[in-house]
Amino acid sequence: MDTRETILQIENLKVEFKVGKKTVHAVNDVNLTVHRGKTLGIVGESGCGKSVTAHSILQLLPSNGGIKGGKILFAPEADGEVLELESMKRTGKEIRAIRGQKISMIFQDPMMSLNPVYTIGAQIMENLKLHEKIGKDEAKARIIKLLGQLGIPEPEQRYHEYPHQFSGGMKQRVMIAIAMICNPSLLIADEPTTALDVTIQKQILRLMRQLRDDFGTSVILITHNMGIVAEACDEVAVMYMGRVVESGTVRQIFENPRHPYTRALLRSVPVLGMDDGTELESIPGSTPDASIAFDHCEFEPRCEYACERCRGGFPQALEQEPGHMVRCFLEGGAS
Amino acid sequence: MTEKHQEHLLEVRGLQKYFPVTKGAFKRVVGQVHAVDDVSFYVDSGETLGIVGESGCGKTSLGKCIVRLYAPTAGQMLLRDAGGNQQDLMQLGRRESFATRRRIQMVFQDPYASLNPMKSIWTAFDEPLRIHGFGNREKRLEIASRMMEAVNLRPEYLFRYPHEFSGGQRQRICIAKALALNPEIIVCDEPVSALDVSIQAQIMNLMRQLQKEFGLTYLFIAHDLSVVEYMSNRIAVMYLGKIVETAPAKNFSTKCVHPYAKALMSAVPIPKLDVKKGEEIVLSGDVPSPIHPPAGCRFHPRCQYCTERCKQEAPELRPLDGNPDHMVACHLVK
Repeated sequence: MDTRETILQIENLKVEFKVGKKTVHAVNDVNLTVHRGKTLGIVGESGCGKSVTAHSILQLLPSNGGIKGGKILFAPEADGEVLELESMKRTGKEIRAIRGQKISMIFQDPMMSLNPVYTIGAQIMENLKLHEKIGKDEAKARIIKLLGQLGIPEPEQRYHEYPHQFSGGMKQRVMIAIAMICNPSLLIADEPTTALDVTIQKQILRLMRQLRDDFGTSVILITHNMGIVAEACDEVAVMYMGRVVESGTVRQIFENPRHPYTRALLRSVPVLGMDDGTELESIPGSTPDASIAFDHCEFEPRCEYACERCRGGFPQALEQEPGHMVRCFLEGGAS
Repeated sequence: MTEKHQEHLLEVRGLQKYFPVTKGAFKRVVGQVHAVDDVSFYVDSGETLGIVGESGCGKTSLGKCIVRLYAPTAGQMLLRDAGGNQQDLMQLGRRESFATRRRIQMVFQDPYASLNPMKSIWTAFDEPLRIHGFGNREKRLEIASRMMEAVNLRPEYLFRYPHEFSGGQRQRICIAKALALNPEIIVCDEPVSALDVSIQAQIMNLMRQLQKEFGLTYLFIAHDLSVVEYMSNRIAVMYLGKIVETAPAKNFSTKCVHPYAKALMSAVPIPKLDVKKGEEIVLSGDVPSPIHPPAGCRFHPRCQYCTERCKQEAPELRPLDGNPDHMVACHLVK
């Protein structure tokens, strides 16, 4: 792994959950690369494994799930050491030193992620004090400065307020402040704007772009909205049923989508200003039950180009052009 | 003018819905949430009126007032009957309103919450059919089966329970259920926002197809502008309980003139690269509280073009360039 270019590399990741007697293969053979200072978008529908992939980076999987194979390589510094996150113990010292400091995370619902009985200042302070030896006054000054940078008006006063005194968009800014206070090298944002209104979403997306540019933070942005990908990401991975079916730069994916699922996904959303007469192309059927293990391409039952070969096995990801991977028999993938 | 009004299937005039804010053991009323404040619009037979706005703008309250799940505080809701007479839904007694309730049905946002998990789909279908006197069991079963087929589900599924269906299928069932009473207007409150992207397109296509087949009129409430623009003939943009702009849906994104409507349009992420979106507007701040809405124009604290007049005088909804199809409530638009 080239640590100068790459900050995080996931190789053949496999995550399984035990649900009753069944085993759910939530993530299968996932390969992802996050480049330094870039934003990687992971898109897919609910249940496609995008959140599980992100959570497994920080060993945040629930107790009935676990990483069953593959590697997660993390290089916080260019030319520095490479850490193997998948081998760390879930509650161990090593991973705890990384969580919130080197890699932080923002969750979907800011209303649920803040503790209602502590001031927001105290909640940001908690993360800072955990990872850095820093005096109280200095810490407070740093937090207030960051709150100001994140567009919270009157940060000195807001520092002492409680979550209920903040609106949804402001709470999400506080969540970002908690995540950013230790200057992490990687920020994982799990649907950061899904619970917010479009005008607030715009503010938050702009803020995240600014963070990437000002602090040089690499970002993994998980979303189901192709519009957000076009607006905020540099690279994309499209997931379906626990596999990355296509990945590449935003330009490659939007201008030359090769996998039938990506193409269908792009055509099934209405776009502003689109002609009223055209009918949306929908993907027939619905996502299959994740607990049923497939013995062939997962998209085959819903794919309009499915042929005999697709029922024979799993296609391997094939590089179509530099950086553009597609997992489909029709695009030359071998089983 | 009265002649023209006769053509509208539903006409709403000056509709208000306030919710009291109470405090203390005696539920003293200390304020009012101005959820819907003096809203007027019309819907013609067979068309789709899209109502769009951010959370808390009163779009759901408006929908619930129209199906009378909420009793409006004031205003008129005139529904045209078969003979061309207008009936004010607010003035009707229990018995008379019973018949009109059948004509306006609703589809809710969350298909997981709107079906009773203890009851089979058939039970959910049967109750309204029985109440509204749609014949004997055989007849009712026939109607329910026909509706299931209309939404591309097998009639055998009637005897299954909600947990056996996926989100998209449940939303189809909810639509079929609303259709069963042979209504004229369906109020759809965010019918696709709880669904996955690939399923949204299925439901939207189905709704458009059913509209043609049954000659339905939709009131389509949603926060997603691209969805609303795709589904509607006309669009009304709401902000803090008021309609700020109504215009034909075709090219609404480029033709809208109200600063809020423009900002809303520019905020929609577009799944295409290198799109020219005109001026990019990022609104600062949040939507103010509907308990103490700002004086004057409700949008003025967030509006970049705000003038002294906007702070004092609330703008009326006026036709733009004398075009009655395109109404704007803004002092700055001539």
